[in-house]
Amino acid sequence: MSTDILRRQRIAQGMPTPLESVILVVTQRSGAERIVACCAQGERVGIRVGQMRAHAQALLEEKAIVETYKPEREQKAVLYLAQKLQRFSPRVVLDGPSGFIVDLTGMERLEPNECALCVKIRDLFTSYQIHSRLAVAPTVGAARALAQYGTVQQSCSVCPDRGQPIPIFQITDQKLIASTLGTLPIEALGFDMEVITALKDVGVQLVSELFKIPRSSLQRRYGQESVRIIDEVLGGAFEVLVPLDHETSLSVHHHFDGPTTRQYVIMLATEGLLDRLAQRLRERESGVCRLSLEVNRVDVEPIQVSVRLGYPSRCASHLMGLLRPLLETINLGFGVDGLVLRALEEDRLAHSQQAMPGVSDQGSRSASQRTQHGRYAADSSVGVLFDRLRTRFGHEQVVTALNAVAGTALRPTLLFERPESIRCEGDAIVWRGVRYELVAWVGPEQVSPSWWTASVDRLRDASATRMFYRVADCHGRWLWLQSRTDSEEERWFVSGVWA
Amino acid sequence: MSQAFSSTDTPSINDALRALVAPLELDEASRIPTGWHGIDAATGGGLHRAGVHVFLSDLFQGHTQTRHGWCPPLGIAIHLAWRALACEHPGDGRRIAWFGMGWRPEERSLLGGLRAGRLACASPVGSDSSQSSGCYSGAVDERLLNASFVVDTQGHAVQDRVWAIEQAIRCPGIAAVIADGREFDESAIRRLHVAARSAADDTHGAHSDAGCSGPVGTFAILLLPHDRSTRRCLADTRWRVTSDQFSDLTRTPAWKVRLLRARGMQALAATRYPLVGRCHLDWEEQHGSGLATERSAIVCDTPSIHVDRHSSSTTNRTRDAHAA
Repeated sequence: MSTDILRRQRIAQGMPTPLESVILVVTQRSGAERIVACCAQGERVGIRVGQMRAHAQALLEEKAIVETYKPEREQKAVLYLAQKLQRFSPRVVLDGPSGFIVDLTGMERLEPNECALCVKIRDLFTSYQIHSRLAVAPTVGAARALAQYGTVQQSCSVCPDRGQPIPIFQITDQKLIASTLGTLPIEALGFDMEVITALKDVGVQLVSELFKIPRSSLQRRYGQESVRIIDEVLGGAFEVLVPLDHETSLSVHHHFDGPTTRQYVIMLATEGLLDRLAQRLRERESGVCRLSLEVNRVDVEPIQVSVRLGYPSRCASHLMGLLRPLLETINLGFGVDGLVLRALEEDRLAHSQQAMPGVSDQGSRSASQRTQHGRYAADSSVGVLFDRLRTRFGHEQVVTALNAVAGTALRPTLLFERPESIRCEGDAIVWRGVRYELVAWVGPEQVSPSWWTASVDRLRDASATRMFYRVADCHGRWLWLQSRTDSEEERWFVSGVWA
Repeated sequence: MSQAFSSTDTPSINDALRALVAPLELDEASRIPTGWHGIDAATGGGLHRAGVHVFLSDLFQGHTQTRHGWCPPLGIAIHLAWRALACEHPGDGRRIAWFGMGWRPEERSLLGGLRAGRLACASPVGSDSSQSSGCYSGAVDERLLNASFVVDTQGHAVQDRVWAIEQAIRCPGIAAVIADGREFDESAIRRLHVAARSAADDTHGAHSDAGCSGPVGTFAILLLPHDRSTRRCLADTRWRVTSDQFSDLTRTPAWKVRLLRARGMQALAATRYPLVGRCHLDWEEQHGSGLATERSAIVCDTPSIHVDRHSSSTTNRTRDAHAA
């Protein structure tokens, strides 16, 4: 689709672009210019995505039109098309870089049948001189597979059309999904490359062969994810779709008069942008949850920095505090000539009533209002604290939700990440060079791996089961000991302490 | 100095001094009862909420003074976190922040439990526990678990760790901060102390304007190893945590805390009669078909004031020396 977009833009700009000319989109990757997208004419002569530009041009007799890959150009066009598709259904989802999912549920009332609706959608793409492949199916996974890999062989599923070279595929009944997709390659279902390689290693090439494998074997060998994908394709599970938001994301721009390499200038400009963004967020009664700043360098592609917030905020100083450490690390190169600040995700942030200076409005608020206000104040301030801590220490270091607690069995107050080995001397143990004279013990408590998460082999492995004892020394210090029997030798460890 | 005032000025001077001291005196709302009645009585109602309290421990401290060779006294910290949470205004949703260095409290030890039909330690002081917690018989109280979040500061500089704890103390949405204070010097603890006091003042003003009636200030607990470097610090209170003697009756982990130093609250009593409180894990076991059903909670014993003869005589000797 990117070559179609490019061809249309060139024609709109009055640049010579013959219909028979080959268009190549290239980018710098692994030290060489490689093909990112190629038009149908180029594919016919053997040009493939990922090929080096020199190799591709060697296959051509005439000079090709070569353009550098600009993701923002394509993204803009895709968003434009998605908005156009919203006239057919309010639920339009972007699927990958050049795919769309249109939820036609309930839309059949607009046209006599689904196919007529699809023909109109294809006419929309044709009007923009964009080649398209369409498929209608009861599930998103099946429609995606047919649209990407469907051939005329799936003739029973072809929508009656006006003799177009590429048909519109259609599956009318959920029971027909398995039989219709059977002849497609397994790549059509959207597995990871690792799973596809592993399946091909055992001779599974087609979807029909994949469907014959027992579900339990698939889960064990290729993971839960592969089973989920098949369920979604066959309609056994729902695929979560995030439709395109009708409202466009907020963005503010700043262009410098000339390229600058001074960091404080960029900081000041960012502060100005944040003030403007905060004002617009205030007007929308919302706060930003994800923010990105695009720094346009004159010599290379724009650099993007983004921050994710734990709680919606429109406080410019707080947002600047999160962006500042990221901006300080950016290499400004030969200069920056512009900044673009975008609110990628927003959430509602209600206005709060400010009290008059020196006047308490305690009497005017009910108890529930005061409680709600207190809760809101606590949540927002903790959200700000989380953002600051995560910016300084990293997201993984600030754990907001502790792990789910399985059972209520007694555990030490401090559990070691790795058990520490000890030496047993009669009724005493030596740990960290200190001798503990044991006077009492409670146990054993058998702890086995969870049957719902561990593999079958691990569950069968007797050594995976541990025996734990609570022991106390003469000074009242309690330890949680673990015994392991490896090769007929019993070893003891300290797993935790009641400190 | 007393010669500068005549006897007729005494009442007015007293009034002026009372007015001066009044804001400094702490009411009950600004204190968190520890649950050790003797200590609470001696300290005027408990620990100062907007203050820093240091707990020293050498429990399980190995001979090798390695970075990982120290176990923070989490049993006492969990007990005090429950006490801080119990004093919170219902619905405020303030959180408990744990700043660890390669450690975090085990999730199940943050659960409150039931024993003999009563909530062990999770009930707000002076309130009906069953109503306030929303628990039913046999349930586990998850309030502390839900309110807690953990920040792992291992591998970061002392300045960064102090900064992070200070940020948490200044945050109005944090009820208590429990932090690993290893390598903190006097100035770091002083900085946290100032942050706690100023944050309480700021929050108090904001709450008054907003009409909120919840508690203000953040209760800060620093856990430190008991060694030579921690003999002096500018905390509100300084405690020593040790394990309690093993008892055949309870057969549970138990700890003992001893108040070493208290700023501005009956320091003489604290010096002459070392205040000791006890905590122990409390759970009930029902062995059947090889499985044990356990409910855990940290409860405090009947508080007691122990007269330590050695310390008392030492204090007396010191006093005698001063008198001489």
